[in-house]
Amino acid sequence: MNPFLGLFESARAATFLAQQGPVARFIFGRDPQEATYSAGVEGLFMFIFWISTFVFIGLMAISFYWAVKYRRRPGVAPQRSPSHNTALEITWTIIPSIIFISLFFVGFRVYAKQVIAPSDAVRLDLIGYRWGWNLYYPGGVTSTETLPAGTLSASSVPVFMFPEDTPILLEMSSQDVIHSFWVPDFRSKMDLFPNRSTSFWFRTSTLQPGDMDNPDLGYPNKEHILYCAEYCGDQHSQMLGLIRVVPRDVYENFLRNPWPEGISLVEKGKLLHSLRGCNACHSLDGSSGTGPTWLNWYGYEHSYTDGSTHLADADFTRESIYYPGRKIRSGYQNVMNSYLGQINEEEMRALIAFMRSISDQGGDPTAGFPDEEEEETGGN
Amino acid sequence: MSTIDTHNAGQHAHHEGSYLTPHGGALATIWNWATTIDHKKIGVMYLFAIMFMFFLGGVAALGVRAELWEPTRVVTEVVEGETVTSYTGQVLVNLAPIVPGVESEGGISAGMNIYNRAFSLHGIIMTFMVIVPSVPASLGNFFLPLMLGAKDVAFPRLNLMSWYIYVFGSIFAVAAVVMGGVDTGWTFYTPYSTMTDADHLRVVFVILAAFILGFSSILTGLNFIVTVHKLRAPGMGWFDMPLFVWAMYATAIIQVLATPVIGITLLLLIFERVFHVGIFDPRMGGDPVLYQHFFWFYSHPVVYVMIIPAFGIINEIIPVHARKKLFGYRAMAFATLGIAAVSFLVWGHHMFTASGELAAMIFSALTFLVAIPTAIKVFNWVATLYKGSIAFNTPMLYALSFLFMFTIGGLTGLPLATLATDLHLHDSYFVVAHFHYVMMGGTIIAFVGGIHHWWPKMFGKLYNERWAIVGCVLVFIGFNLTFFTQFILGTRGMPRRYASYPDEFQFLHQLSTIGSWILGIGFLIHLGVFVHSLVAGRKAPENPWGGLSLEWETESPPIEHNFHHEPIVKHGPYDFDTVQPPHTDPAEFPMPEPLRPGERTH
Amino acid sequence: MTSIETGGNPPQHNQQPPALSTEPRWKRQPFANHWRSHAEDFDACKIGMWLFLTTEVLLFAGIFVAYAVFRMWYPEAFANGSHHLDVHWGALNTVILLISSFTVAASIRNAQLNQQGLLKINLSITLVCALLFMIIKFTFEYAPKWAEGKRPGVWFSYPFAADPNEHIWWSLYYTATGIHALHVLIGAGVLFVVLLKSFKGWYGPKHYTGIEVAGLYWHLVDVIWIFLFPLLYLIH
Repeated sequence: MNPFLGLFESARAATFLAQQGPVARFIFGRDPQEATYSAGVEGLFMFIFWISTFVFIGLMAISFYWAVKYRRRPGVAPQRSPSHNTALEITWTIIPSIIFISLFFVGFRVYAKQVIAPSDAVRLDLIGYRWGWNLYYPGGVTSTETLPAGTLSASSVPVFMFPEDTPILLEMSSQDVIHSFWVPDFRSKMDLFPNRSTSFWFRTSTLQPGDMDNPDLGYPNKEHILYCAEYCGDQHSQMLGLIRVVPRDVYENFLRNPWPEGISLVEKGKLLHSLRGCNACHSLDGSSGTGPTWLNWYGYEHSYTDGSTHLADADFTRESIYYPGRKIRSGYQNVMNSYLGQINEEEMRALIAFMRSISDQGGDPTAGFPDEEEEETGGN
Repeated sequence: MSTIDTHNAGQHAHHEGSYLTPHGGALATIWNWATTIDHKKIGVMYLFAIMFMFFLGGVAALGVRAELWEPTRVVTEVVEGETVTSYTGQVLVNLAPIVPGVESEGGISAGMNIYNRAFSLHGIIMTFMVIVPSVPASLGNFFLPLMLGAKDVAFPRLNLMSWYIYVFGSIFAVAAVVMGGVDTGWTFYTPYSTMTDADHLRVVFVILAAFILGFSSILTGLNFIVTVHKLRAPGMGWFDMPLFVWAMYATAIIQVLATPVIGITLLLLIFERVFHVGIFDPRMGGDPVLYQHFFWFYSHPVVYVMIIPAFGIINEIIPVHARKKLFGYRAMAFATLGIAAVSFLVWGHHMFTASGELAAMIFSALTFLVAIPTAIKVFNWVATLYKGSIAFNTPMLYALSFLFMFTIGGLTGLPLATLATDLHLHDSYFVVAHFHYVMMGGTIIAFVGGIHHWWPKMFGKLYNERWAIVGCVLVFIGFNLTFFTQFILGTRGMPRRYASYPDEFQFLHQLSTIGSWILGIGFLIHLGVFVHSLVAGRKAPENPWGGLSLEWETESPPIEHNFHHEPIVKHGPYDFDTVQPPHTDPAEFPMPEPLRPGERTH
Repeated sequence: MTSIETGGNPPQHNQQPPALSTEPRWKRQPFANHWRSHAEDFDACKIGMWLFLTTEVLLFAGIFVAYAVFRMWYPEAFANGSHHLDVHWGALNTVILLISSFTVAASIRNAQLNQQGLLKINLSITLVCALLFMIIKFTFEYAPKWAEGKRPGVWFSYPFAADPNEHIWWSLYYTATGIHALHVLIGAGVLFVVLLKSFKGWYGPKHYTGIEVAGLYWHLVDVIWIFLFPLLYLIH
């Protein structure tokens, strides 16, 4: 048994009350996620906090007391006192060293809990991109819900559902630059890289009937905000997500039937516009962002940086999404990533149908999907 | 080779004038300053250049805080049947017409893009052009030779060269700002920094600026090391040197050993952007994590380039203004060197969320190792106050502020060094607050304190003590209001470098922004005090505070060749209990009873 | 009790030798007046140069670390890439640099012994070696490889590359040898100035600071090549 662990256990017992107390709640805001390492991280922080506070107040009190007591008085000489005291100096070297060493060991122990996932964890893939997250559930299902624009001061926040009381292991990578997956409620984070895989695990808590973070849902749920913590460009602060812990039957139902019932192709395209982060660059109201607006895009001729003009039809739309670097709209930069392999055929059709619906050259989008490009303005 | 030179003052007689004495007309004086190899003039030029850069960086910081007054809110409304989206709370978007090259003209991005440029600008200027050179290049250049009893640094022409390299590098940086600024952040993390603004030269310019400034830093460090080795006055052993000199020495070692690594890193980054060599580009088989290792191998030691000189200044201010022998001189000297040595082994703690478990464990342990000498230093400073005669003037108030803020900065480093808590706090506002408490609450506060401490010596003028104290108090209040709130923001989950944030954080952000205004006013008052002193300040005596190190022996301002006679050192720099300081009146600076026969001082 | 002697110690001025035109230049050479003696000035310059060499070593250390990492990641690319380098030219260049290092060292000895003629000859040989090195580098190494498409990063267009990551190898090859070549040029420039000064008689016994520090720098350029040569040319 490591002697420092004993120290830690007693210290943790001592700070247990403080953890529950108002100071910890003031510092951390929301409660740590239960049934996982989160409470351990918070406890360790509070342990360091109380030691630090004690040391700080002690040092400042002594300094202040001496500064006032020995303030300069005209004509009064300073007194002599030793400028060196071996015993004292050794003491104040060794005591902090012991504290630091124990902090290191305890920190490492909790860290091990943070980074080593249990073997029965459910593995899901998470891809970060500018500026959003794609979470892939078993069977290739992705998230199908976003919060209304403006929630959390972000233009769109995808909702990721997780079943209650389940260990989840996210295998993460990035599509472009470095991102970082941070859920403050879990008290942990991990970076996402474009050339290597990293992982993040957490255990969702067991839902109580009173857990109703979103009361509109009609079933118990807990919600945790997900942030990108590694600077990734213009809309870094918009790269949020919502982790929603739901009862298992809700989760399984979602896997079987991810899209809302009776959704039309156009509505689905509109959802995908925000779910896949298109909205970060492509507006729907005619204003230009990092990329051109989708309003009145479909069915019109646009000019490109290579000097050509091209009619925006179904095939060209498909090419622009899968191979965005081939043609760059005049006045814009080549910044878009390829969505090849990320947007399947069904979703592509939904996106095109949605684009048609917001273009006055799009024809009647409810009239079916034009397979031939000659038909696209005819509208059948 | 270029070390053979003679000072252009000709014969030095006893009536030799101060180094500030003009040479002929205005043009001749400017030429004299521009070509000077006098370490004092170079130090003064650095001082004003750094103050100017601090002003630029400070304006950028105020802009950052202004943007964060309100989050960006997305407003959707239906006007005449059409859905219109607009955004509120974007303060900096109003700058869009005057910022060149804002690509996203509309939408939510434009304001955020300008915000990103503002914080990058703030970080780049403050790191590479203010804090790294701040103390060594200005106060160090001026006082290192004086404290050693030397006439100049070892290589005066190299010294002038490093000043011009600094100017040259800064011009590149300012040019990049005029061209629109960069949004890379000061860390230039790849692959973002190799992708952003791909068609523009300004990112290359900024990286080049940092690269060039590195040379300036290396040359200064090299000069200081040789100076300390070869130019100590007769009688001055290594342990008779003032601790400011020790600090400069340790700093110089880090500068010389770490800066070349950032040099090659930035060079590779420039190659990456200009020639697309692929070493850091994951799309071409390169590795962004390698970049982080390279970057922090320099940038962590350089944190100690920033803070060790501050330790040096505090080591001077506290004993002089408390009239007390510094407690634990040798422990201080060894702690300084120890910090410098261990600083090279801890770079990985910036990458706990990026590197493997084993590396994280090792770096965490080594990081705690750095904390030990740092703690010793704080204890020594507090112990020095005991039974002193403490003057509450501006330098001492700054030293006490330093103790307060640096202790907070140091203690909040503990949860960041601890692996488990760091995974929560990394890249959050907690980190932002922590390093501002160390870099600003530590280095800048000590720097400003040091400027006040040595101002009478540098310019031969006293400053208005009352207004300086007002400035100091405002800085203290403003600083703590600005940054203490950010600790809480961080633990509650506010990520750094966010142009916008969920509403729950707004109150704390607003407190922080108010603090930044108070801080700004405090610094403006100091600026006023300095200008007033230069224009209308009373003449300063040679030794206004009763200091014992050699710079107080000479006149205020020092003569061109520093000393009329080469000083011979017969006492330590902190022997305040046995030595009446030079040029002081025993009535104003009374001494303790002389030692009785057989009694020893410690 | 005052600490500082202010009375008896006369101001220290450098004893500048009288400017006799018959004296060789090196005997009249002044030293900066913040030094107490010429010897201290010389020592300081040497320490300064050694420190500077340390920074140079660390600069190249960055490249060596990158080399090590990528060689570990892509051993095939490195082995293949290395086969495209011509060991003979590399070896010849190594010999040339070794000779030049020897002649620089000899020129310092010449200065110490006041052999003004040999001094100039040895310095000239060094410069010729530097020139040869650069000619071989550019005409026989860079130019043909560039023409074949063996270029760094995105410029890489060699059609028969055996490994998809070979461009990384070429990036490192050009970066490492390019930065080294830059150092050769700087060193040659410095030695050229030294040569010019030697014609004016600047160097002699105890007055050879310039040659000494320039020589140190040149040795460093040599040593770095000694490391680069096996790492780049001799991979199997």
